[in-house]
Amino acid sequence: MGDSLKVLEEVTSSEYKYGFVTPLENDSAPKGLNEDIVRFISNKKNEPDWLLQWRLKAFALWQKMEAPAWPNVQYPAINFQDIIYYSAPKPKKQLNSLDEVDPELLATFEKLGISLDEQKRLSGVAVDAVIDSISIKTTFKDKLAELGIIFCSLSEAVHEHPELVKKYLGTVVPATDNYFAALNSAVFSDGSFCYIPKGVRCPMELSTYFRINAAGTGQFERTLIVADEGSYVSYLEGCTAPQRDENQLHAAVVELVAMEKSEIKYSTVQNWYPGDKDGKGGIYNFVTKRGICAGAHAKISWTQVETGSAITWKYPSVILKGDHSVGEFYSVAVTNNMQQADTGTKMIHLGKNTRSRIVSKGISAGRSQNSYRGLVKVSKRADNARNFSQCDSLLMGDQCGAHTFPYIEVDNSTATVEHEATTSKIGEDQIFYCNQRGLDTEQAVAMIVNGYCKEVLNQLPMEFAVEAQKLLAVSLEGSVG
Amino acid sequence: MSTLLQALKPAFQAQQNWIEQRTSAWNALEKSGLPGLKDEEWKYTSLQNLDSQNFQVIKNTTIQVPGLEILNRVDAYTIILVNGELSSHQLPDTIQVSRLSAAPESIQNSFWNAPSLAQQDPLTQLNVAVSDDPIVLRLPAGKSLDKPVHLVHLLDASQKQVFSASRLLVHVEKNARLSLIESFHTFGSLSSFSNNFTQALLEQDAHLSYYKIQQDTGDAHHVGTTEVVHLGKSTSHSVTISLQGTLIRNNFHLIFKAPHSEGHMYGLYMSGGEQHIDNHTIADHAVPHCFSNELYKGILDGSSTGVFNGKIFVRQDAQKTNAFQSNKNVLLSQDAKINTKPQLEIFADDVKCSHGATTGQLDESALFYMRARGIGEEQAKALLMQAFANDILEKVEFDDLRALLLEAIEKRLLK
Repeated sequence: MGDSLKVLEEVTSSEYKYGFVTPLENDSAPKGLNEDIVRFISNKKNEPDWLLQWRLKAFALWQKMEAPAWPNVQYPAINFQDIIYYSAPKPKKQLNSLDEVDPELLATFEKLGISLDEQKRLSGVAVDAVIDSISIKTTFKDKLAELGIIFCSLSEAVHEHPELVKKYLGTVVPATDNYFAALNSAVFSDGSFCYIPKGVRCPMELSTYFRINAAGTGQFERTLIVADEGSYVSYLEGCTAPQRDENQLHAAVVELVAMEKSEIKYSTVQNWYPGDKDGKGGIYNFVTKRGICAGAHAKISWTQVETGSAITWKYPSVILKGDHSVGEFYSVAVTNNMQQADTGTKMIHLGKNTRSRIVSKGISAGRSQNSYRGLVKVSKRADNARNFSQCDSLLMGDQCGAHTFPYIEVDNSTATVEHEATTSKIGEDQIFYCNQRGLDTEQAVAMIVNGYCKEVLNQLPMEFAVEAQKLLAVSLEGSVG
Repeated sequence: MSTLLQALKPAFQAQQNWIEQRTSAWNALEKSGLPGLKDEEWKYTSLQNLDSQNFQVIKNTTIQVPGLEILNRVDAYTIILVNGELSSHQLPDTIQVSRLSAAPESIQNSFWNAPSLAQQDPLTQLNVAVSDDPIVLRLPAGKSLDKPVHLVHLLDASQKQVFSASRLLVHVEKNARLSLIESFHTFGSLSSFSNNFTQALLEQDAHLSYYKIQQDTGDAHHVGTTEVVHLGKSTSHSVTISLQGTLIRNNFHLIFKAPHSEGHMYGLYMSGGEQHIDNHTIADHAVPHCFSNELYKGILDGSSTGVFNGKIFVRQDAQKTNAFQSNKNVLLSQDAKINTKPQLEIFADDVKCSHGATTGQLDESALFYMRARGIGEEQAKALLMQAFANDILEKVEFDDLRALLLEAIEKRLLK
């Protein structure tokens, strides 16, 4: 406990520390969105025709769709013509070793604390870094290749493994899925692709780091992970963005495919710039994440720590198609100041004997609004489906809100579905107890919050857990006492 | 415009009083139309079937009040409504019953200005627009009755498909105590559609016990809204029991406007066949120090559908609120279905709120225990079901009413 307190103390006084801008030269598309921009992006990336057609189809769909109004968040209508849809750091050339990477860029990642540097191989994390729109560098690629694991940027995969990309792209989140998924399908610029072959247990954590750097840009990355029969992979994702007064849009899509007896563990620490105290600026984080347990005994586990973004709108979901498959969702969502979050999950039980577990911890402070929205659906054929959901909310201050919107649809009499939710504040007696034992109120609150989130933080890989704890403290700074 | 609205427009146009309120309700309704599955509040309940039927307002019927079991067995003061029209009543002098237009102006104003969460609901707008002059029940300060008041809604569907709308306003004055039962009965082989709106205003230290009993054996459709408004520090206790009916939608709203009020909501729904039973409840905490408690239980059989949506709103000023909600369901058959959405919206920090929802089966080990002791499977199941339902039934304060309901439930379980 002593360590975690130190960690908290260390960061309680700091503001958003990732708010710097790196002076990188950018190769950008003109502002605005039309068919030409879609073609421009596709052309820039030298894409095959099928992908261009796929994008154009999605774009046509998107034009007919309307932005969803149901989330419990408020924001002015987004002007999609005022966004740069493609921005890549210059010079863009084939990179083989770190020496060829722009030193400015390296410094950026240094500041972010990301081990792009292969000297840090002891940390044992393979990283694919995406700045603005382009995947900058994938580390440990060769080592992974020995095992037959493919881990590269999506645009690279399109050229090198077209058969895999073609087979799986858009199968879990089709362009028709929702407004932002359609937009992403049309203009996605890059992202990570990962394929774990049959029976391989990925020896290290795979990681993607996203950063929006240039002004006026939107980031639309797409991640596709396929775990073949009997394989295992743990995947980490982190995000940061500079401090700007404007709102920037991040509309990503993540698709996971887990085959028979495979397991995918996907962890996110989301720390996009949340805007200042008065809600000026910040990232609109509208993300579609979904996984499918396509085979029997497959398992997908989502863990997320959401502390950033002005608005978060995200529901990592699992389609439990294979019999005996398992879906998990662990989430800590923290909102402070003027942040708004509408996040949760969907567990769609289709196969027999499928199980799912949802643990969601919301913390609202300042004048923020924090909503959990979830769906547990048990279809007619999903015999013996089992779900347990727990969503707790913690309120700090009398200006914030915590909301819960769980949808439970049960169409099978053998299902057992449980949902429970509580809302409360940190008890005065709890704080008093800590005070009595010599902890000041700030420390007491930090400790109680950490304990409250522990169930979720325990799910994170070690390095991330530490970062997540720090983030929790930073995000709640000034709201305690 | 939908068939239903078209058929009911003359009924709206024929109304002689409250023209202003009716017109604004009708215009809003005409503009929005009947709600569809895209409306969040009506996501799981389709009115399409209702809309395709040829419902009509039928006045001046002279049906003989048949020997209703509930009338014979439950000792109460009765008010009989036939097709939404006030037919007869047997009430003691203590309680005053009148039409709203004949009530003192202060009463009229207090009702039209009463806080309501149903103003946006299209089916409540329909009621406001087409129902006859509302019936006002007033229990003066300090009074209480020795028996409950039983409001009996009779619908005559022997000649035509009948639509009936009635609106009831209940005023429980300072330190008065009232028990009110509402029940619905359709006669004839055709279908009926009752659309009701009941508002109860509770003054300082008042208490209301409210029972809504739905045991309508006909092809009955019901969409009703009940709002209990705690204007002064007061308490309420309500039980909604839905056993029969083709389509039922109950909106139940508990509105707290005075600190230290307390409200309990209980509900039991048992559906079979093709039935559809939908309960939407709201506990709206706008002031501090109130307590609301809610428990709804459902037993679903056949290919019936159950819907539960419970909302708890805790507004910014409502510190020190305690609000609890629970919804439990048992599915008995492969084709039965339940959609439940327990919802919390909380804007104050010093509160204790929780909700829970479960869907499951009967406890296997309990079944085994009973069977090992010579109780047949069917009977053991019925016994467990009855115990499940009993959590709600025991909240019924009147022995005769509780016995009647218990019998009806036993009969259903041992069919």
